[in-house]
Amino acid sequence: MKLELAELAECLHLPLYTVERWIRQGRMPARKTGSQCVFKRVVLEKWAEKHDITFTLNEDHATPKGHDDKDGLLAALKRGGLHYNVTGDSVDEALQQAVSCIPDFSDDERSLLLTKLLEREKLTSTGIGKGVAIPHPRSPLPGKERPALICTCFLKNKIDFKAIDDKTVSVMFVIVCPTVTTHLHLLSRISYCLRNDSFVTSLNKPLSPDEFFQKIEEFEEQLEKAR
Amino acid sequence: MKRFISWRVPTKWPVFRLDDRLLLIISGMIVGILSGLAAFALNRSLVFCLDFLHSYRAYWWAFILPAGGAALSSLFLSRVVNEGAGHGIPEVIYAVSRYGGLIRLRSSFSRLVSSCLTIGSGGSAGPEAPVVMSGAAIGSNIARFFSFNDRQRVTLVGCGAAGAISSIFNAPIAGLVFVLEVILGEWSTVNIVPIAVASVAGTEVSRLLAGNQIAFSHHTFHISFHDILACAGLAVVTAFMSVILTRLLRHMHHASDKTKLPIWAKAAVGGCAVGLLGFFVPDVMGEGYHSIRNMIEGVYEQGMTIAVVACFAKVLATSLTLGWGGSGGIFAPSLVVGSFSGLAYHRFLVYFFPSVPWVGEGCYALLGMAGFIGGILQAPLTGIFLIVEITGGYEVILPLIIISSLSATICYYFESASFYMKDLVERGQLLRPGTDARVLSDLSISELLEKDCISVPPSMSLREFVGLITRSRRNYFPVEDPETKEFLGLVKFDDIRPYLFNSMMYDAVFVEQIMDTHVAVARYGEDLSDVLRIMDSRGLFSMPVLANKRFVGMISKATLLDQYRKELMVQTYQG
Repeated sequence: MKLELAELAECLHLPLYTVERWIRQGRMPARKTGSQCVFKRVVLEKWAEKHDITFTLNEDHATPKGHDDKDGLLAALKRGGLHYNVTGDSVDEALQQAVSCIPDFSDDERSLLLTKLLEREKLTSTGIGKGVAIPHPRSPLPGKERPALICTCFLKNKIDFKAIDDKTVSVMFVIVCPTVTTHLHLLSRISYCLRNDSFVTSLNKPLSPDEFFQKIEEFEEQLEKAR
Repeated sequence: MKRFISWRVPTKWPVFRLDDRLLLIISGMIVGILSGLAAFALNRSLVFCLDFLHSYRAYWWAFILPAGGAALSSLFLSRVVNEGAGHGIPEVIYAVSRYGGLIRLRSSFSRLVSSCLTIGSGGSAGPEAPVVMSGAAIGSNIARFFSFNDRQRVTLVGCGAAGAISSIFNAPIAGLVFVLEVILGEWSTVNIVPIAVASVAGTEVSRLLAGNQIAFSHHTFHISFHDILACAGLAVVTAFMSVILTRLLRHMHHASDKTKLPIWAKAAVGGCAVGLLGFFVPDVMGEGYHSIRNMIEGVYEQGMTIAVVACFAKVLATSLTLGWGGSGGIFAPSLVVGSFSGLAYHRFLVYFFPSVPWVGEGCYALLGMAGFIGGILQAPLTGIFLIVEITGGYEVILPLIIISSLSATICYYFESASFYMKDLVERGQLLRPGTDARVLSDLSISELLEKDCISVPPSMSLREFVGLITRSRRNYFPVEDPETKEFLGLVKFDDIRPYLFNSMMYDAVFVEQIMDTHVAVARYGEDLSDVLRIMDSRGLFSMPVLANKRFVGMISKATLLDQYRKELMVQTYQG
């Protein structure tokens, strides 16, 4: 088969110069014609294996990746959905209600998530002040990998979450992520939003989904610009 | 049209596309035949020259004949073909290890002509190295003509050299072993088969044209145990003589370098000296095969003293010829000196132990040759096989093995590199496959560059810089002049770590205040071994690389190790 020299170098995870030199020195079973390399795939794969060189021929490397780990905050929030008038007088009850709101979860998963959330709550409170809490499990849930989601729950009654500023909590963002990196990424984004006082105050009374998502979109745009 | 030109690129033919072994064998055979022809041509021209000049040797002014020949040969090399003096084999070794065997086309005849002039006129040198050079050049240029890659070209260079040695000595195994041991320095199956075929082809050419004759035939020897014991002593003698020849040659070379004379005049001075020496010891003139033949047949009449004198005189004559600019190799002179030493040693044994039934002096001459070749080339196998083949004396194989390997070992204590390699080692140009020097010389800085560093302007504030750190994957930030794009210095993450969380300093400090301007830098085209030396001496793990005063990337030991390992595996993989 034929590949551009640069493409072949990418497949072998080697610098372009090295591949070019190896072909010239006859150390690689490939031939160069112009800027292209001609080789037999089987032979080259065998050669790479013998020399402990990784050879990954990604034929579909032109198509974009299906699922990006670092999916935006907005997408995660939309997946989790907005839930109003979540009942409960204590942390445990509120979390139980919140977990039952999460879409597409089986009962087993819900109970596992709840135990993990409570465990985390025992460690230190996830009430981060200003009336907001971000309950989350300490490690990703085992089993089927799901895209990250953040479930936004507006509480009916304000609850004492033992938050750092001792304020009662009226909004919970339950964060469930498949990987630690996604978790950190979403956490940093959501904390960026919560640093904005006017946004936090607006959360005190339940927002409509459109309003809420629009604000989040604005924040994300700001963050992208800063990058 | 494509079909029309494709004969020039046989690697593209369907037959050879998958595996080039058959192609190498066929082209190796062609190269072997051609270098065999070259060897035959040189041999015949030497005979012609000697015959032509024979009648003039009786005159008193005959001593200027070698001077004239040497001067002409050095004029031819320096003015006509524009090549340096020297015998050619180090050049071939260097071309093989550094340039994938690229040798100029003119080298395929230049040394033949110049060595013919030198040796034909009576200079003390051998025709083998020039023939090896021309065989190698033939192989290299055939490979280039058919657009072979470096590995294939190196094999064909080896084929040329093997064909030449095989043809000139009528000794196919010696040709094969010499190439693998001395020229290529590696024994891989891919090389051995084509080179063996070339050896056979070269030998066959010489047999067809000159008849199947053994160069130095002799009567059968009956070796006893005490002869084998006595070999140890002979090994010491030959090792001693080969160290003398190596050193004297180099001294002569240095002396001639210091003399302020035109190149041709230097060669003439050397030639004159050889001519004068030839008056007193005629055996030193020419390549000296005639005297070897006499010694092996046991008809050399002079006594021990004369043999010793002849031995030293030959060493001196060879150094004078080659050291002062004559052209030729040391193979034949080595054989002559070796056989003289063997002969003298035998006379010595007979004188002091007259009651011991020593084997004939021819056998000692033969063993002396093997010892000397093994010693000066530090290639014991070449010594063993060459002598077995050129004398047809398999019955002496036991003492032959002992003397050859002993002599090579003793020489190693005095000269750590063989005669051919010494200059290369001194210049750091001996790059055997799979060695550290070879891997480092093959890798270049451009293959190791890490280009994902973010450049910053010197006027950037620490606040902006901290923001930038969050986006960077590297710990080093090159500082560039925003206008000229010249490299000004380097900011290391470690240096600013203490101030990273001090937000008071964010707007008070600028990048130019925290950058290191005295950082060690590597140039783009610099040798990797030099870069590594700087890194080691300063305890660095990475260095910025500049090209034209501009930053092009970082080079780090981690990437180097990764690439180094891959390179080593690719270079040393057998099969």
